[in-house]
Amino acid sequence: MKLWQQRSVSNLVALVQLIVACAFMAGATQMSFGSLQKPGPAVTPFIFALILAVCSIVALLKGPQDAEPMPQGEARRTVIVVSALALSYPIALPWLGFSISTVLLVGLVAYSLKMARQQAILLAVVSVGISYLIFHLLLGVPFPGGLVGF
Amino acid sequence: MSVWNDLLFGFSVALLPINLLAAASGAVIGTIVGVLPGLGPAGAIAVLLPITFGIDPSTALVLLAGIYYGSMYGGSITSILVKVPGEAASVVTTLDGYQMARQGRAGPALAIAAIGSWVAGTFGVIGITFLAPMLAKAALTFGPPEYLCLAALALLLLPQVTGGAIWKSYALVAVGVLIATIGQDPTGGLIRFAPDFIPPLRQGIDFVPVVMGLYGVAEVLRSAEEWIMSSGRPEHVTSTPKLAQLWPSREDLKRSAAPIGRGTVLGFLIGLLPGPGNIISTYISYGLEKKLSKHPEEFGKGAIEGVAGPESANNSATAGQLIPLLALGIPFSSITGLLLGGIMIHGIVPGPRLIVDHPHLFWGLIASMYIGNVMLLILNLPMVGLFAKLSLLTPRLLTPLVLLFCIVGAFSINNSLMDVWVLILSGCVGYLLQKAGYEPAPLVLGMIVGPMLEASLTQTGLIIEGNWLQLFSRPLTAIMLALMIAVLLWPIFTRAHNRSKKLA
Repeated sequence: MKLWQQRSVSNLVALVQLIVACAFMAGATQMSFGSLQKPGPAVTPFIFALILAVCSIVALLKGPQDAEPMPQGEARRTVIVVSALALSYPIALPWLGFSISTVLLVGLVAYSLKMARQQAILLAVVSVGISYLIFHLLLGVPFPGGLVGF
Repeated sequence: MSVWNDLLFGFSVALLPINLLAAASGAVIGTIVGVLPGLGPAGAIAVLLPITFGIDPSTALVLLAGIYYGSMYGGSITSILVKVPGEAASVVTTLDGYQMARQGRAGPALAIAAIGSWVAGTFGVIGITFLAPMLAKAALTFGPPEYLCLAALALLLLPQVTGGAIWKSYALVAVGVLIATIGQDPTGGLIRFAPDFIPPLRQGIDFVPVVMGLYGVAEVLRSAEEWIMSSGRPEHVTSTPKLAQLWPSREDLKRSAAPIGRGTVLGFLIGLLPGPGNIISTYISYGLEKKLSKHPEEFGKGAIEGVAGPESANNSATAGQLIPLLALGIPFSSITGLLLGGIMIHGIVPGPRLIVDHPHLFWGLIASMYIGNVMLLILNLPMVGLFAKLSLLTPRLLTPLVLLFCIVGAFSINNSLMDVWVLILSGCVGYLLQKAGYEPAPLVLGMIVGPMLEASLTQTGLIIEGNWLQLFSRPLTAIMLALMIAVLLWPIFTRAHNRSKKLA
């Protein structure tokens, strides 16, 4: 079971790398390779995409060397929840604004790590409040206000 | 004589109140980072990079370097008291340090670790003071062909020493260079690999959010996983010693002197080479001390030499790693790559001209490291109990805060939502890469060295008028090309050698 998991994550990464390599190679062929005297903008991306493609194929053939098994059960659920919350954040940010979306993110991540609900809310409100004070009010970073304006 | 004048100038910069504050803050933050399991020095520097935008570049570099060498001190505290190394360079210290703590000798172990770190750290800074300007002076004669070969050599060498499968490291070097090619071509101005439906990609992908994602957000996911798997059980700290119990006996000092000396020299030399020298040097130093010891059977059971050697080695290696960074502008490890990022975000071009063009930055940093090492020695011993208690802060408190820091930091680089996307995606990708057995340092190196390689490739083509064989006729490029060939052939040679050994 463990070996199968290691193989699947290792193969997934290698496969994605191979797709990325092919995409860059295809993109590079649309540009000029220049001459020996003046190498064009396609040269570097093409060479490194080729290296990536070769390394990805080797990784696919060699299997899950040094790979770790993916988490199972509750640990897996927590990693998926925290990743989903993090990935939702940039979508929510323009709509809900910095304060609300970040309080929600910090609070929900803390809660998913088994922090008591009141403590998670307190941690989120205080830490985001301090960040807002330092970065927005003192350093002038223009955080998105969203529909509510802060 | 001029080195002394330059050093005095450096002290005039380092002793400015703001820089003293930065050195002290860096030392304390570094120690805390070293103490806390999970977020290593690379993660902490990545997370704190954006905060340094608004401050003077020399102050920023003093702060970031302080975090780096401070973390080497801090790592030993939890290795000895809790058997939990705060960062990878302190893993070896757990072997004998924790055993000493269990025997009620935590005080001498901590004191020897601190003294060894101070001796090695100071020796390392003396090494930088004299070697970096010499190397930079030699490198001033470098033209684009030499830079091209140096960049290619760095990209070839680092993956050989980062550990793990070589093809994985080269894959990430390639990914790093490819990410760096997104946006405007550095010589012709052509927009590359930026589809019309993602307009911000035309500006390229900033190095900082990628690194923050790879080291910060990925660590958030990893900590979340480990916290749940450990069922939320915090570590137990052995009793922390009082200040009076810290001083080692005459016998301890006598037994530690030679390991500290050997660890210092060994670490410094390993630090000059590409790769995570601060980690590798601890293992080599431990092995060396065990081999040279009259009582090798004591190793692993509380031998003070097993603490003195590795703790000295990792601190001098940290200083040694700064030499290629400051003299050539080439980072040989992920952390020095991040420090380079800290210089570049202020618009300063790293390279051999750094010392000439920005003396306040270079000499200010050097002088601050002398001061910072003394600060660490003074701060760490009395505050050891407090730092040890910090290690009990649970990931459920730290993880959301690290995520918050990363998001705020990434957004404030360009006030752009795109950077937040890059941060989060890099974090998720970084977590998967770790699971698949990839170490992210080569990706960081690729992103930094890639643009330099590409720019010097075009310039070299023009200089040598397309006759690439000319590279073999220039002495420096010929040496570097020979080294590259050796690096490429080395694995084939060792494999053939091992096979013939087996057959024999």
